[in-house]
Amino acid sequence: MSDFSPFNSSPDDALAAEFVLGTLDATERAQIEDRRLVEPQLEALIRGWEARLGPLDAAFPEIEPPSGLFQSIEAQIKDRKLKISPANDNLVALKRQLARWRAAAMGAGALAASLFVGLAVENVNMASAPKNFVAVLQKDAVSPAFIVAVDVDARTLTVRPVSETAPLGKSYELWMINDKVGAPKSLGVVQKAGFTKADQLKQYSPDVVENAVYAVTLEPEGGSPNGKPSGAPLFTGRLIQAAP
Amino acid sequence: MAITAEDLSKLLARTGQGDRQAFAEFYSATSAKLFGVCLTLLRRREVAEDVLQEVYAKIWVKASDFEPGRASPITWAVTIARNRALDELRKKTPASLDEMQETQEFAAEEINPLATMEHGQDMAALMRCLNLLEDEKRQMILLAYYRGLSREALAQKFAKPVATIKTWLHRGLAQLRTCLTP
Repeated sequence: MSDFSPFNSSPDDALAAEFVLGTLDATERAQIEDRRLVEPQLEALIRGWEARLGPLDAAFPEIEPPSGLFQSIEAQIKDRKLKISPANDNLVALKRQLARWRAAAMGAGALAASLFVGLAVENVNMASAPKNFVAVLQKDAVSPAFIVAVDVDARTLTVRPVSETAPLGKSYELWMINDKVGAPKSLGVVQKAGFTKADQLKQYSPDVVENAVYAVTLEPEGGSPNGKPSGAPLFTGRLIQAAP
Repeated sequence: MAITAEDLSKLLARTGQGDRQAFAEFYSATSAKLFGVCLTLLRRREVAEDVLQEVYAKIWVKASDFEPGRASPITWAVTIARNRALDELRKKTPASLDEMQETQEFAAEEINPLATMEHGQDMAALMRCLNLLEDEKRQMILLAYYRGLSREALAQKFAKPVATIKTWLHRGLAQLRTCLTP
């Protein structure tokens, strides 16, 4: 029993094992699900455990679902584009946050010309602009750090820092992560005033753009030297449709 | 299932290209298994039905990601279903006493992979390694995998502190890993 020191060398392997086993709590699961998208090593550990424990799946029984269920599924996938948000519960809170930030932005006259207000305007016009999405990148539920706005049809993206400035000699870099397109794609270094980018997103399908995770990492000044994130993302978020 | 893994892979590939007919066929070939997964983990039918719908919506979106070389299509789909069901289970506050009761009734022995051995060498190797574990560690691992018991729920069931459960789980899993390493 004591002849072995389980996982001492790799806490991530223990996490991966428990993730696959199913014993992690909601927060830990969510962290793993985000991290695995940007950390190939963790992803490999998870796959290792899926392969080890997977044979257990054979013992799950086969139980016919009620007839008619497939019709509901088909109906769902038909309007899949309309329900992008992975976490509908967050939607209300997020809208409230947006309203608050918009109010703050409106109050600050100096910001009137800023992208921040641009986002607010999009938000107001949401009925007529159904393809506009926003993502709030955050560390946790109460610390919004960046706002990303995407016009999926035009595939243009705007990002604006809300509360973060990079430490001296470092830069924040924005990434689009979608396992459909492989490794994280850099969308550029986030300047203090934010930036508008059209180019990078154009090469991806709207579906990829909509369903991606957007993440910010801390990089050496000027951005990642090798086109890959240097570390785990500090801030992440997914797009939600900026329409009711 | 008369349909082979190769057939399922082809159906997934077509689904990935937006072929609804292929998706419907994939559903009819796999939905009983995936519903079994959801129901076993979630216990409540109406919840399992909702989750099953989400699982297939996800399969529709992710079908083009499936790499035939990496896992069998059914394993891939079961993994999606298990992950989604586990997320659903964890959303809630810790299991109520009623649910615990239900879990108690479903003793670990009832989940007996040995009895349903779908054979294959992987399964045989895993079973051999599981059988080398102490009874309680094995039961914990099976209850977590099949019934979605969290560390807290396991702590209640085995009347041990959560920290002890975590240690046992880690030991048990590490033993499995060592045992399975060729």
